[in-house]
Amino acid sequence: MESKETARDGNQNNRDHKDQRRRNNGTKQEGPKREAILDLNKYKDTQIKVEFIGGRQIVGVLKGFDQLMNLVLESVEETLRDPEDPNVLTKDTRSLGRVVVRGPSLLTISPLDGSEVIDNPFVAAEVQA
Amino acid sequence: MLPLYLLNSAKSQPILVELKNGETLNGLLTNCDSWMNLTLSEVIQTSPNAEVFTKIPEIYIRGSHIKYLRLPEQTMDYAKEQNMINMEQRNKNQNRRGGRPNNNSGNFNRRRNDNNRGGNYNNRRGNSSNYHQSHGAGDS
Amino acid sequence: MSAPNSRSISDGSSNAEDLYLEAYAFTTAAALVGSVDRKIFLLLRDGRNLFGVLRTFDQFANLVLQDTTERIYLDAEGSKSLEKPARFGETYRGVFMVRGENVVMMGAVDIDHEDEHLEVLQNIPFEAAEAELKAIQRERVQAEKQKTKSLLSRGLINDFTKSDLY
Repeated sequence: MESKETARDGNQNNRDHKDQRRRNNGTKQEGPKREAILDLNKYKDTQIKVEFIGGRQIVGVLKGFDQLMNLVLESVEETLRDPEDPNVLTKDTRSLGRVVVRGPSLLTISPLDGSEVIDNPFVAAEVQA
Repeated sequence: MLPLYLLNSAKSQPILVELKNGETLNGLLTNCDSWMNLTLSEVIQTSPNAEVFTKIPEIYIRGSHIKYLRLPEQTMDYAKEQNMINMEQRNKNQNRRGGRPNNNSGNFNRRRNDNNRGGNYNNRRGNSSNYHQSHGAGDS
Repeated sequence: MSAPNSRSISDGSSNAEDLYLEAYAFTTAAALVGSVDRKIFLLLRDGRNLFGVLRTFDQFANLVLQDTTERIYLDAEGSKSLEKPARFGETYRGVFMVRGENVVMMGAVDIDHEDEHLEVLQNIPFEAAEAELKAIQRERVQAEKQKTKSLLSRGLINDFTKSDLY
Protein backbone atom coordinates (compact mmCIF):
# COMPACT_ATOMS: atom_id res chain seq x y z
CA MET A 1 0.00 0.00 0.00
CA GLU A 2 2.64 2.40 1.09
CA SER A 3 4.97 1.47 -1.74
CA LYS A 4 2.20 1.90 -4.31
CA GLU A 5 1.56 5.38 -3.04
CA THR A 6 5.20 6.40 -3.26
CA ALA A 7 5.34 5.00 -6.77
CA ARG A 8 2.42 7.18 -7.75
CA ASP A 9 4.10 10.12 -6.12
CA GLY A 10 7.19 9.43 -8.11
CA ASN A 11 5.23 9.56 -11.33
CA GLN A 12 3.57 12.76 -10.32
CA ASN A 13 6.88 14.34 -9.51
CA ASN A 14 8.24 13.25 -12.83
CA ARG A 15 5.34 14.86 -14.61
CA ASP A 16 5.80 18.02 -12.57
CA HIS A 17 9.41 18.24 -13.63
CA LYS A 18 8.49 17.82 -17.27
CA ASP A 19 5.86 20.52 -16.98
CA GLN A 20 8.38 22.80 -15.34
CA ARG A 21 10.82 22.28 -18.16
CA ARG A 22 8.22 22.90 -20.81
CA ARG A 23 7.07 26.01 -19.04
CA ASN A 24 10.57 27.35 -18.80
CA ASN A 25 11.07 26.83 -22.50
CA GLY A 26 7.77 28.39 -23.34
CA THR A 27 8.31 31.64 -21.46
CA LYS A 28 11.36 33.77 -21.95
CA GLN A 29 12.84 33.79 -18.46
CA GLU A 30 16.27 35.07 -19.38
CA GLY A 31 18.92 33.34 -17.34
CA PRO A 32 22.65 33.75 -17.63
CA LYS A 33 24.14 32.08 -20.68
CA ARG A 34 26.16 28.92 -20.50
CA GLU A 35 27.83 29.22 -23.91
CA ALA A 36 30.58 31.58 -25.05
CA ILE A 37 29.60 35.22 -24.90
CA LEU A 38 32.49 36.49 -27.01
CA ASP A 39 32.92 35.61 -30.66
CA LEU A 40 36.66 35.66 -31.20
CA ASN A 41 36.23 35.13 -34.96
CA LYS A 42 35.72 38.87 -35.43
CA TYR A 43 39.17 39.53 -33.92
CA LYS A 44 40.97 37.01 -36.12
CA ASP A 45 44.06 38.49 -37.83
CA THR A 46 43.59 41.79 -36.00
CA GLN A 47 45.61 43.21 -33.13
CA ILE A 48 44.18 42.60 -29.68
CA LYS A 49 45.27 43.59 -26.20
CA VAL A 50 45.26 40.85 -23.58
CA GLU A 51 45.60 41.47 -19.85
CA PHE A 52 46.58 38.57 -17.61
CA ILE A 53 45.70 37.67 -14.06
CA GLY A 54 48.73 38.96 -12.19
CA GLY A 55 49.05 42.12 -14.27
CA ARG A 56 51.00 41.29 -17.42
CA GLN A 57 49.76 42.93 -20.59
CA ILE A 58 50.46 42.00 -24.19
CA VAL A 59 49.42 43.11 -27.67
CA GLY A 60 49.45 40.71 -30.61
CA VAL A 61 47.71 39.52 -33.75
CA LEU A 62 45.12 36.83 -33.04
CA LYS A 63 45.79 33.76 -35.17
CA GLY A 64 43.81 31.07 -33.43
CA PHE A 65 41.71 30.16 -30.41
CA ASP A 66 39.60 27.37 -28.94
CA GLN A 67 36.53 26.87 -26.78
CA LEU A 68 38.52 27.30 -23.57
CA MET A 69 39.73 30.68 -24.82
CA ASN A 70 43.30 29.52 -25.24
CA LEU A 71 44.71 31.92 -27.82
CA VAL A 72 47.50 31.88 -30.36
CA LEU A 73 48.98 35.32 -30.97
CA GLU A 74 51.71 36.44 -33.34
CA SER A 75 54.11 39.41 -33.30
CA VAL A 76 53.46 39.83 -29.62
CA GLU A 77 54.77 42.81 -27.68
CA GLU A 78 54.59 42.71 -23.90
CA THR A 79 54.27 46.04 -22.13
CA LEU A 80 56.71 46.02 -19.23
CA ARG A 81 55.77 47.15 -15.76
CA ASP A 82 57.40 49.31 -13.18
CA PRO A 83 59.47 46.90 -11.02
CA GLU A 84 58.59 49.01 -7.98
CA ASP A 85 54.82 48.90 -8.59
CA PRO A 86 53.49 46.09 -10.80
CA ASN A 87 50.24 48.02 -11.28
CA VAL A 88 52.01 50.75 -13.24
CA LEU A 89 52.84 50.12 -16.88
CA THR A 90 55.95 51.66 -18.40
CA LYS A 91 56.55 52.74 -21.99
CA ASP A 92 59.03 49.90 -22.48
CA THR A 93 58.06 46.78 -24.36
CA ARG A 94 59.70 43.51 -25.24
CA SER A 95 59.04 41.28 -28.23
CA LEU A 96 57.82 37.76 -27.59
CA GLY A 97 57.04 36.61 -31.15
CA ARG A 98 54.48 33.83 -31.26
CA VAL A 99 52.67 33.17 -28.00
CA VAL A 100 50.11 30.66 -26.76
CA VAL A 101 47.89 32.22 -24.11
CA ARG A 102 46.26 29.91 -21.60
CA GLY A 103 42.56 30.68 -21.33
CA PRO A 104 42.32 30.32 -17.55
CA SER A 105 45.00 32.94 -16.88
CA LEU A 106 43.48 35.63 -19.01
CA LEU A 107 41.74 38.62 -17.47
CA THR A 108 40.54 40.87 -20.29
CA ILE A 109 40.53 40.84 -24.09
CA SER A 110 39.97 44.00 -26.11
CA PRO A 111 40.63 45.07 -29.70
CA LEU A 112 43.49 47.51 -30.16
CA ASP A 113 41.76 49.18 -33.09
CA GLY A 114 39.67 52.06 -31.76
CA SER A 115 41.36 52.09 -28.36
CA GLU A 116 43.08 55.24 -27.23
CA VAL A 117 44.40 56.80 -24.06
CA ILE A 118 42.29 59.82 -23.16
CA ASP A 119 42.22 62.58 -20.54
CA ASN A 120 40.21 61.99 -17.39
CA PRO A 121 36.64 62.03 -18.76
CA PHE A 122 35.01 62.00 -15.34
CA VAL A 123 36.42 65.34 -14.22
CA ALA A 124 35.06 66.92 -17.38
CA ALA A 125 31.64 65.43 -16.71
CA GLU A 126 31.64 66.81 -13.19
CA VAL A 127 32.62 70.27 -14.36
CA GLN A 128 29.86 70.27 -16.95
CA ALA A 129 27.35 69.17 -14.38
CA MET B 1 15.68 36.82 -8.40
CA LEU B 2 19.33 35.74 -8.25
CA PRO B 3 22.12 38.26 -8.74
CA LEU B 4 23.08 36.79 -12.11
CA TYR B 5 19.51 37.08 -13.37
CA LEU B 6 19.49 40.68 -12.25
CA LEU B 7 22.70 41.21 -14.17
CA ASN B 8 21.09 39.66 -17.20
CA SER B 9 18.26 42.16 -17.09
CA ALA B 10 20.80 45.00 -16.95
CA LYS B 11 21.94 44.22 -20.50
CA SER B 12 22.54 47.23 -22.77
CA GLN B 13 22.57 49.48 -19.72
CA PRO B 14 25.58 51.43 -18.45
CA ILE B 15 27.39 49.69 -15.61
CA LEU B 16 30.61 50.12 -13.67
CA VAL B 17 32.87 47.15 -13.01
CA GLU B 18 35.71 47.20 -10.53
CA LEU B 19 38.23 44.38 -10.80
CA LYS B 20 40.17 42.90 -7.92
CA ASN B 21 43.29 44.76 -9.01
CA GLY B 22 41.45 48.08 -8.59
CA GLU B 23 40.98 48.75 -12.28
CA THR B 24 37.54 50.12 -13.16
CA LEU B 25 35.58 49.79 -16.39
CA ASN B 26 32.62 51.98 -17.33
CA GLY B 27 30.55 50.79 -20.26
CA LEU B 28 27.38 49.30 -21.65
CA LEU B 29 26.80 45.69 -20.68
CA THR B 30 26.44 43.70 -23.91
CA ASN B 31 26.50 40.17 -22.55
CA CYS B 32 27.15 38.04 -19.49
CA ASP B 33 27.27 34.33 -18.71
CA SER B 34 26.74 32.10 -15.71
CA TRP B 35 30.36 32.62 -14.56
CA MET B 36 29.81 36.39 -14.50
CA ASN B 37 32.18 36.81 -17.45
CA LEU B 38 31.12 40.03 -19.15
CA THR B 39 31.41 41.81 -22.44
CA LEU B 40 31.10 45.58 -22.37
CA SER B 41 30.95 48.10 -25.21
CA GLU B 42 31.94 51.78 -25.36
CA VAL B 43 34.19 51.31 -22.39
CA ILE B 44 36.32 53.71 -20.42
CA GLN B 45 39.00 51.83 -18.54
CA THR B 46 40.63 53.47 -15.52
CA SER B 47 43.93 52.16 -14.18
CA PRO B 48 44.18 51.13 -10.50
CA ASN B 49 45.95 54.35 -9.53
CA ALA B 50 43.30 56.38 -11.45
CA GLU B 51 45.97 58.02 -13.60
CA VAL B 52 45.51 56.42 -17.01
CA PHE B 53 42.18 56.47 -18.83
CA THR B 54 41.66 54.39 -21.96
CA LYS B 55 38.73 54.42 -24.35
CA ILE B 56 38.00 50.91 -25.68
CA PRO B 57 35.23 50.03 -28.16
CA GLU B 58 34.65 46.60 -26.63
CA ILE B 59 36.11 44.41 -23.90
CA TYR B 60 35.74 40.89 -22.49
CA ILE B 61 36.21 40.50 -18.72
CA ARG B 62 36.81 37.36 -16.65
CA GLY B 63 34.08 37.03 -14.06
CA SER B 64 36.33 35.53 -11.42
CA HIS B 65 38.37 38.73 -11.22
CA ILE B 66 35.51 41.10 -10.60
CA LYS B 67 35.36 42.78 -7.21
CA TYR B 68 31.97 44.41 -7.61
CA LEU B 69 29.58 45.90 -10.15
CA ARG B 70 27.51 49.04 -9.89
CA LEU B 71 24.21 48.88 -11.75
CA PRO B 72 21.80 51.64 -12.74
CA GLU B 73 19.11 52.53 -10.23
CA GLN B 74 16.22 51.31 -12.45
CA THR B 75 17.66 47.81 -12.80
CA MET B 76 15.87 46.48 -9.73
CA ASP B 77 12.48 47.75 -10.92
CA TYR B 78 13.06 46.55 -14.44
CA ALA B 79 14.01 43.09 -13.22
CA LYS B 80 10.94 43.00 -10.99
CA GLU B 81 8.76 43.95 -13.94
CA GLN B 82 10.30 41.26 -16.10
CA ASN B 83 9.75 38.78 -13.34
CA MET B 84 6.08 39.74 -13.06
CA ILE B 85 5.57 39.39 -16.80
CA ASN B 86 7.17 35.97 -16.72
CA MET B 87 5.07 34.89 -13.77
CA GLU B 88 1.86 35.99 -15.49
CA GLN B 89 2.85 34.19 -18.64
CA ARG B 90 3.58 31.08 -16.66
CA ASN B 91 0.24 31.24 -14.89
CA LYS B 92 -1.54 31.64 -18.20
CA ASN B 93 0.23 28.63 -19.61
CA GLN B 94 -0.62 26.65 -16.55
CA ASN B 95 -4.31 27.55 -16.70
CA ARG B 96 -4.51 26.73 -20.38
CA ARG B 97 -3.21 23.28 -19.65
CA GLY B 98 -5.63 22.88 -16.73
CA GLY B 99 -3.00 23.24 -14.05
CA ARG B 100 -3.37 21.50 -10.73
CA PRO B 101 -3.89 24.12 -8.06
CA ASN B 102 -2.41 23.57 -4.59
CA ASN B 103 -0.25 20.80 -5.89
CA ASN B 104 2.96 22.41 -4.78
CA SER B 105 1.86 23.29 -1.31
CA GLY B 106 0.63 19.76 -0.85
CA ASN B 107 4.05 18.45 -1.69
CA PHE B 108 5.66 20.87 0.66
CA ASN B 109 3.52 19.80 3.58
CA ARG B 110 4.12 16.17 2.91
CA ARG B 111 7.86 16.69 2.90
CA ARG B 112 7.72 18.55 6.14
CA ASN B 113 5.73 15.86 7.82
CA ASP B 114 8.33 13.38 6.73
CA ASN B 115 10.86 15.56 8.39
CA ASN B 116 8.89 15.55 11.59
CA ARG B 117 9.20 11.82 11.68
CA GLY B 118 13.00 12.01 11.50
CA GLY B 119 14.50 11.80 14.97
CA ASN B 120 17.67 13.77 15.22
CA TYR B 121 16.86 16.98 13.44
CA ASN B 122 13.48 17.13 15.01
CA ASN B 123 15.00 17.17 18.44
CA ARG B 124 17.32 19.96 17.60
CA ARG B 125 14.58 21.94 16.04
CA GLY B 126 12.40 21.50 19.08
CA ASN B 127 15.07 22.88 21.36
CA SER B 128 16.01 25.93 19.41
CA SER B 129 12.41 26.77 18.64
CA ASN B 130 11.89 26.99 22.35
CA TYR B 131 14.75 29.36 22.51
CA HIS B 132 13.20 31.54 19.87
CA GLN B 133 9.84 31.46 21.46
CA SER B 134 11.04 32.55 24.84
CA HIS B 135 12.84 35.43 23.21
CA GLY B 136 9.78 36.32 21.19
CA ALA B 137 7.78 36.50 24.38
CA GLY B 138 10.33 38.87 25.87
CA ASP B 139 10.10 41.16 22.86
CA SER B 140 6.36 41.58 22.96
CA MET C 1 6.58 24.81 25.93
CA SER C 2 7.40 22.73 22.92
CA ALA C 3 3.88 21.40 22.47
CA PRO C 4 2.26 24.57 21.05
CA ASN C 5 5.31 25.12 18.96
CA SER C 6 5.31 21.80 17.20
CA ARG C 7 1.61 22.20 16.59
CA SER C 8 2.14 25.53 14.92
CA ILE C 9 4.82 24.02 12.71
CA SER C 10 2.45 21.42 11.38
CA ASP C 11 -0.16 24.17 10.90
CA GLY C 12 2.19 25.66 8.34
CA SER C 13 1.56 29.24 9.43
CA SER C 14 4.10 31.78 8.18
CA ASN C 15 5.40 32.38 11.68
CA ALA C 16 6.16 28.71 12.07
CA GLU C 17 8.00 28.81 8.78
CA ASP C 18 10.25 31.53 10.11
CA LEU C 19 11.05 29.41 13.12
CA TYR C 20 11.61 26.42 10.93
CA LEU C 21 14.22 28.29 8.92
CA GLU C 22 15.93 30.07 11.77
CA ALA C 23 16.13 26.95 13.89
CA TYR C 24 18.80 25.52 11.62
CA ALA C 25 22.31 26.76 12.12
CA PHE C 26 23.01 27.50 8.48
CA THR C 27 26.65 27.41 7.58
CA THR C 28 26.19 28.18 3.89
CA ALA C 29 25.13 31.28 2.01
CA ALA C 30 21.55 30.23 2.76
CA ALA C 31 22.07 31.77 6.20
CA LEU C 32 21.59 35.14 4.49
CA VAL C 33 17.85 34.62 3.92
CA GLY C 34 17.13 36.30 7.23
CA SER C 35 18.94 39.46 6.11
CA VAL C 36 17.10 39.96 2.83
CA ASP C 37 15.34 43.34 2.59
CA ARG C 38 17.19 44.55 5.69
CA LYS C 39 19.84 47.18 5.95
CA ILE C 40 23.26 45.62 6.19
CA PHE C 41 26.86 46.65 6.54
CA LEU C 42 29.58 45.19 4.33
CA LEU C 43 33.33 45.32 4.78
CA LEU C 44 35.22 44.45 1.61
CA ARG C 45 38.75 43.12 1.39
CA ASP C 46 39.98 46.40 -0.05
CA GLY C 47 38.73 48.20 3.08
CA ARG C 48 35.53 49.69 1.71
CA ASN C 49 32.59 50.14 4.08
CA LEU C 50 29.22 49.75 2.37
CA PHE C 51 25.78 50.26 3.89
CA GLY C 52 22.71 49.22 1.95
CA VAL C 53 19.59 47.11 1.75
CA LEU C 54 20.30 43.48 0.86
CA ARG C 55 17.95 42.55 -1.98
CA THR C 56 19.20 39.20 -3.19
CA PHE C 57 22.08 36.74 -3.00
CA ASP C 58 23.10 33.37 -4.42
CA GLN C 59 25.02 30.25 -3.38
CA PHE C 60 28.36 32.02 -3.75
CA ALA C 61 27.18 34.78 -1.41
CA ASN C 62 27.23 37.25 -4.28
CA LEU C 63 25.19 40.09 -2.85
CA VAL C 64 22.99 42.77 -4.35
CA LEU C 65 22.60 45.93 -2.29
CA GLN C 66 20.19 48.73 -3.06
CA ASP C 67 20.44 52.37 -1.96
CA THR C 68 24.04 51.80 -0.99
CA THR C 69 26.22 54.42 0.65
CA GLU C 70 29.95 54.11 0.96
CA ARG C 71 31.53 55.57 4.08
CA ILE C 72 35.14 56.27 4.95
CA TYR C 73 36.22 56.65 8.57
CA LEU C 74 39.35 58.64 9.33
CA ASP C 75 41.23 59.52 12.48
CA ALA C 76 41.78 63.10 13.61
CA GLU C 77 43.47 65.31 11.04
CA GLY C 78 47.18 64.62 10.69
CA SER C 79 46.93 61.15 12.17
CA LYS C 80 48.31 58.44 9.93
CA SER C 81 46.56 55.57 11.63
CA LEU C 82 43.02 54.25 11.28
CA GLU C 83 42.36 53.32 14.87
CA LYS C 84 40.16 55.99 16.48
CA PRO C 85 37.70 57.47 13.97
CA ALA C 86 37.23 61.21 14.39
CA ARG C 87 35.97 62.10 10.94
CA PHE C 88 33.93 60.44 8.22
CA GLY C 89 32.91 61.04 4.64
CA GLU C 90 30.12 59.30 2.79
CA THR C 91 28.57 59.22 -0.63
CA TYR C 92 25.56 57.63 -2.28
CA ARG C 93 26.43 54.75 -4.62
CA GLY C 94 23.11 53.17 -5.63
CA VAL C 95 22.88 49.51 -6.61
CA PHE C 96 25.87 47.32 -5.86
CA MET C 97 26.49 43.72 -6.86
CA VAL C 98 29.40 42.40 -4.82
CA ARG C 99 31.09 39.10 -5.56
CA GLY C 100 31.01 37.09 -2.35
CA GLU C 101 34.71 36.30 -2.29
CA ASN C 102 35.54 39.98 -1.73
CA VAL C 103 33.50 40.27 1.45
CA VAL C 104 35.32 40.19 4.78
CA MET C 105 32.37 40.73 7.04
CA MET C 106 28.69 41.50 6.89
CA GLY C 107 26.16 42.40 9.52
CA ALA C 108 22.68 43.77 10.06
CA VAL C 109 22.39 47.49 10.84
CA ASP C 110 20.13 48.68 13.62
CA ILE C 111 18.40 51.50 11.78
CA ASP C 112 17.27 53.14 15.02
CA HIS C 113 20.81 53.64 16.24
CA GLU C 114 22.95 53.56 13.10
CA ASP C 115 23.72 57.31 13.11
CA GLU C 116 24.47 57.66 16.81
CA HIS C 117 28.19 57.01 16.51
CA LEU C 118 28.43 59.57 13.71
CA GLU C 119 27.21 62.40 15.93
CA VAL C 120 30.59 62.67 17.64
CA LEU C 121 32.44 62.50 14.32
CA GLN C 122 33.16 65.35 11.95
CA ASN C 123 31.48 65.02 8.56
CA ILE C 124 33.90 65.83 5.74
CA PRO C 125 33.44 65.71 1.95
CA PHE C 126 33.78 62.19 0.55
CA GLU C 127 36.34 63.18 -2.09
CA ALA C 128 38.65 64.61 0.56
CA ALA C 129 38.24 61.55 2.75
CA GLU C 130 38.93 59.28 -0.22
CA ALA C 131 42.09 61.13 -1.17
CA GLU C 132 43.36 61.03 2.39
CA LEU C 133 42.58 57.34 2.78
CA LYS C 134 44.35 56.54 -0.50
CA ALA C 135 47.42 58.40 0.74
CA ILE C 136 47.41 56.48 4.03
CA GLN C 137 47.01 53.18 2.19
CA ARG C 138 49.82 54.04 -0.21
CA GLU C 139 52.08 54.77 2.71
CA ARG C 140 51.11 51.51 4.38
CA VAL C 141 51.87 49.54 1.23
CA GLN C 142 55.21 51.30 0.95
CA ALA C 143 56.07 50.52 4.56
CA GLU C 144 55.07 46.89 4.15
CA LYS C 145 57.22 46.66 1.05
CA GLN C 146 60.24 47.78 3.07
CA LYS C 147 59.35 45.33 5.79
CA THR C 148 59.05 42.51 3.27
CA LYS C 149 62.48 43.33 1.92
CA SER C 150 64.22 43.36 5.27
CA LEU C 151 62.39 40.24 6.48
CA LEU C 152 63.26 38.46 3.28
CA SER C 153 66.93 39.24 3.74
CA ARG C 154 66.68 37.37 7.03
CA GLY C 155 64.91 34.48 5.38
CA LEU C 156 61.47 35.42 6.69
CA ILE C 157 58.17 36.01 4.94
CA ASN C 158 56.02 39.09 5.47
CA ASP C 159 52.41 37.98 5.37
CA PHE C 160 50.91 40.99 3.63
CA THR C 161 49.00 41.27 0.38
CA LYS C 162 48.26 44.56 -1.26
CA SER C 163 44.66 43.59 -1.91
CA ASP C 164 43.99 43.16 1.82
CA LEU C 165 43.58 46.64 3.22
CA TYR C 166 40.79 46.10 5.69
